[in-house]
Order: sequence, then C-alpha cells, then structure tokens
Amino acid sequence: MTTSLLMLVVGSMLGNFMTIQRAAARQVSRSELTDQLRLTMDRITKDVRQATSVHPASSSSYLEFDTFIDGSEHRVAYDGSSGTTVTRSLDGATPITLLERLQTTAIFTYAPDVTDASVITVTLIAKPDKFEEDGSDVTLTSEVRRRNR
Amino acid sequence: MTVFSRILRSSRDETGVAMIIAVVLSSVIATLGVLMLATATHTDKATARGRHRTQALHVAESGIEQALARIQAAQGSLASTSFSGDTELGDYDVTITRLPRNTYEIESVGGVRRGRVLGAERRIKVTLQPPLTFDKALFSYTTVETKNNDIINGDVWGNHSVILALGTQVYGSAVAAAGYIDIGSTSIVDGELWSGGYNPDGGYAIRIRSTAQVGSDIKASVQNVGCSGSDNSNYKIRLDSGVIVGGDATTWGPLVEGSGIQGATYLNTCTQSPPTKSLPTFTFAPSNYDSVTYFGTPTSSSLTATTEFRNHILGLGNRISGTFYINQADPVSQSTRIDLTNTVITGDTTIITNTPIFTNGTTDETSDATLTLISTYDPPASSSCDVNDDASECSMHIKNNLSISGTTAVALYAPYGPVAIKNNAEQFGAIFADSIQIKNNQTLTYDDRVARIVGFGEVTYEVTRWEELPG
Repeated sequence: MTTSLLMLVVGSMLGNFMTIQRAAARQVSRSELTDQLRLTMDRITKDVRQATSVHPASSSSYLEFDTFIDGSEHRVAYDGSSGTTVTRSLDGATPITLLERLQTTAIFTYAPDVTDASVITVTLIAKPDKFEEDGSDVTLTSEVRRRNR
Repeated sequence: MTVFSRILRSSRDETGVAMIIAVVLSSVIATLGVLMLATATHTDKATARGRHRTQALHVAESGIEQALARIQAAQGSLASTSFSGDTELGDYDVTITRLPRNTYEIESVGGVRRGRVLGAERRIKVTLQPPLTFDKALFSYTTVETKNNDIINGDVWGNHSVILALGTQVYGSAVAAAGYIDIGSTSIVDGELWSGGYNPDGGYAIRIRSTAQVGSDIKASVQNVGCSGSDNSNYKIRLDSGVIVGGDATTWGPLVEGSGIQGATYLNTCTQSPPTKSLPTFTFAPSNYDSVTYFGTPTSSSLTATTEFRNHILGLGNRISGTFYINQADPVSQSTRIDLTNTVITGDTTIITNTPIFTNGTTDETSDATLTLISTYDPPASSSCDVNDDASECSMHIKNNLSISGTTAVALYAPYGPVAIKNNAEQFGAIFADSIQIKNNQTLTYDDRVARIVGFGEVTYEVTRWEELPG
C-alpha cells in the first residue's frame, strides 16, 4: 500500500521534473542565443558608431560602410540577406558568420536615408537552437548614432 | 513460521524506502536548481558585463565633452593637458594634445568598476579641426576666367560663369552654377562640366571650342524648377570641330555642331542646376593664433598700418612667418596696399588686412607650411580689376613668379573683390574670391593642407574623426 502511494507520488514528481528539466533546457538555449545576439549587436554597433560613410548599395538586409578599426580605416559589410545568417566581411575578405538562425531580412533602417544616415537602427531576431516549435524568437534592437558624420 | 513466510514478511518490510526516495528526489531537484541557478547567474553576469561596457563608453564620452568644454572655455587656445574626472557611473582619464594648425586630439578612457569583477573600460579618441571650407582649387562667388595655358589641378566653381580660354588644362570638374561654361581651343577638362545658365550672346549654355577635350559628362541645366518658363533655345551645347567629350551630354536645349560625344546624348531634357554657394565666412579671433602682430587693431585702424608692416618685414630681412593683422585707416586703396614684393615665407603665415594685397616674386623656404592671405578690401563700385594693370582695383594682385613650392600651401581669400594672377605663378592651395582672373602659364594645384583653416566657417572647431581604440 505504502509502495503504491510512493509510486504515485514519484510519478507525479517525475512529471514535474520533466517539465522543469524542459524549462531549464529551454532557458539555457535562449541564454546562449541571447549571448550570440549581444555579441553580434555589440560588434555591429561598435563598427557603425564610427562609420565615416555608408555605401549607397546598403539596404535593409545589407550594410556596407567605411569605418575605423584599431585606428585605421577599413571597409566593413554586414549581410543578412539570406534571412538565416548574419555575416561580417572586412575589406572584401571572405565573410565570417556571426549569427545563425536569423529570422528576418529587415535588419537595418536608416534615418534620414541610406546615403546620409545619421542614425542606423539594427534589429536582430533569431530563434533558439532548441524548442524552435515554441515560437519564442529573441529580438534585440539598438539605435546607433554615427559619430563621424 | 516457515522460511517462505519469513522471506515474504521481510520483503514487505518498507522501513527506509521513503528516505531513499526522498534522497533521490532531493538530489534531482537540487541538480535542477543548481542548473537553473547557473543559467540565471550567467545571464545576470552577461547583462552586467554588457551594461558596464555601454556605461564605460558613455563615461568616456563624458570625458570628451569635458575636454570640449575646456577648449571652448579657453576660446580654442588650450595647451596640451591631462585631467581625470568621474560621473555617477564611473571615472575617466582624458589627455588633450594640441597639434599644429589648430588641431586637437582628445583621448578619453572611461571605466566602470575598474579593477573589480565585471569591470569595463573603453578608450575613444576624437580629433577636432576647423571646419572644411577650402574644398576646391578655385571658387568664385561670380566668375572664373583663365587665359593662356594655365593648369589647374583641382575643381573649379563659379556661381556665375566659368571661362577657360586657350590651352587651359583643368584636372578636375568645372561648374558654373548659374551661368555658362566656355572652354577655349585645345583646352582640357578631365572631369565633368555642369552649367546652370547661359550666355546671352548666342544662347549657349556650354561651348567647347575646337580640339578641346572633356573627359566626363557635360550637362546644361536650368535654374527654374521643372525648367518652366525657360526658353530651351538658350541652353544650347555647342561643340566645335575636333572636340571630344568622353561622357554623356545632357541639355535642356539642342546640340549644335556636335559629333565628338562618346557617350549618350539627351536633348531637350530638363535637369536642375546646382544651387549657388556662399563664400565661407571669416571671423578673426586672436585666441585662434599662437600670437598676432598688430598694425592698427581690429577696433582701431591706423593711418600708417601698411607702411609700418612693410618696414617691419623689411626689418626681418623680408623673411616672415606668424600672424599679422593690418587695419589701415581710410582712405584704403591700391596705394596703401600690403606689398609682399620679394618676401620669403619661412613658416606658417597668416596675413589679415582690410587693404589690397600685392605680391611680386614672393617665394618660400619651408619644409611644411601654409600661407593664408585674407583681404577684405572692397573695391569702389565703379572700378574694375584688370589682370594686366597692377594698379587696377583688384583685392589681390599675385604677379611675376609667385613661386611657392609644394612645401607651402597657399590659401587666398578675398570675399569682396577680384583676385588677379599672372605670369608664371606656381601655387599649391586654393583661391576663394568674389571673382578670379588668371593669365599666362599659371599652375595651381589644390592642396588639402588649406582645406581647414581656423576662423573660416560657422564654427571654430568640429569633430573630424571619432574612433574607438583597443582597450
């Protein structure tokens, strides 16, 4: 009798355990994604903040500009036109992937316009590695004012 | 009691089972708790680190603002210095370095929780310079006119017309914002031509004479928006025999005698002319210069200012550098002008005067210098400037072998009168004047060392470079 009751209690606790375990895994996954988004955003905002000129080919999914890196001028391009990754290319070299599982191509907005942008708003939306079916995208937005304009 | 019944009884003995289960469950729950706590702690740390990095940037920028305030308080004459300060978020260390030609470099290191866990530090450097004003080789508030084999390495701008006579070579563009362009025989312009008006004599917007060459597009635009009310017969492009145009030709009017256009031709096509531009304003402030030698003062003119200045520089062996302010009392005329005959420039030199300026055989002995001549002389209304007449009413007469080497860049500024240049002058720099006349084998090469001269423009300093350096 006691064993049966214990089994009942254990069964119910196991259910709770499964729920908690699932939540923990989900949390870890979102945390990892948030870290990736933060790093990507930090990289973009640092480059954009000191941009000297924005290339007219820039769009909502592609941003190309001249900027200072460690005291010298370079051409940097961020490309999210695939809708799944954000890559960074330095001086035309092979792009490096900064962010995966991107969920948008509308990353960059320019004010007042592309060629004379004083403020560039960056929006990154991505899906966690696990529990994609939850529909819990993580969104990070940052507004960057260009200092060299 | 049989053996079987004893075994059965002992198997029903549940003593201690609850504890085992409790221990197992506690372990599982504790593991989960630790895991979730670790995730939360990581997120907390990452957030804090990100926040501190952003705050460190703001703190560093606070240091920059503090430096700007100090430079402003010193009216732009602050010497190199260092200081520290703090805000509610963190502290900053700032170094201000004053460089030659009114350039400041400010380096600020902002720190939040420096030397502690999750601390952050960011370093930014800002360069301050006078605003960009001298951005073309020749800028005329009215008309630019050249004659006889002059060479201009840079852009040419006239608010009215641009007339480049026989054999002129321009390695840049030529714009006549509200007037016409006339390119003489055998001349070369390797950039574009863009006009916004027309020559009433013949109704030409752009005329390119025989065997002249243009390297890029030519465009005859109209000032009126939409070209409304503009008679397109006045906006002709005329190309004489042997002319070559490397790009497209676009005009509100027709094309006359043109066959050398290598690009496309767009006739009767309305395009908007470029807006006319003002000359940059100049404001004299003693604090902008290391020292100023006065002949008269800004508030008190002197009847002997130009004579005293001439005697002063002759006393220096006609070799000068530094800043000179000469305020001649009325009547100001060509007979009381600044005379720099055979003067040798030996370092950065600025001459500011209300009189005309005359140079004849002026040279330099420098390794890297600028010469800025500023004449606010306003010629009498009924007078005229003749490049062939040294006594005519020009604001500046630059004459006979002004041979300034590439080591000295020259800026000539005459906002109210013409600048006349003749006979084998070689100059590196820029000329900004009410009008410009150039004659006989002049060579002018634009030099960006005069692009930003203190005192010109709406502000004294502007940020020309903002960069984040590695920590």
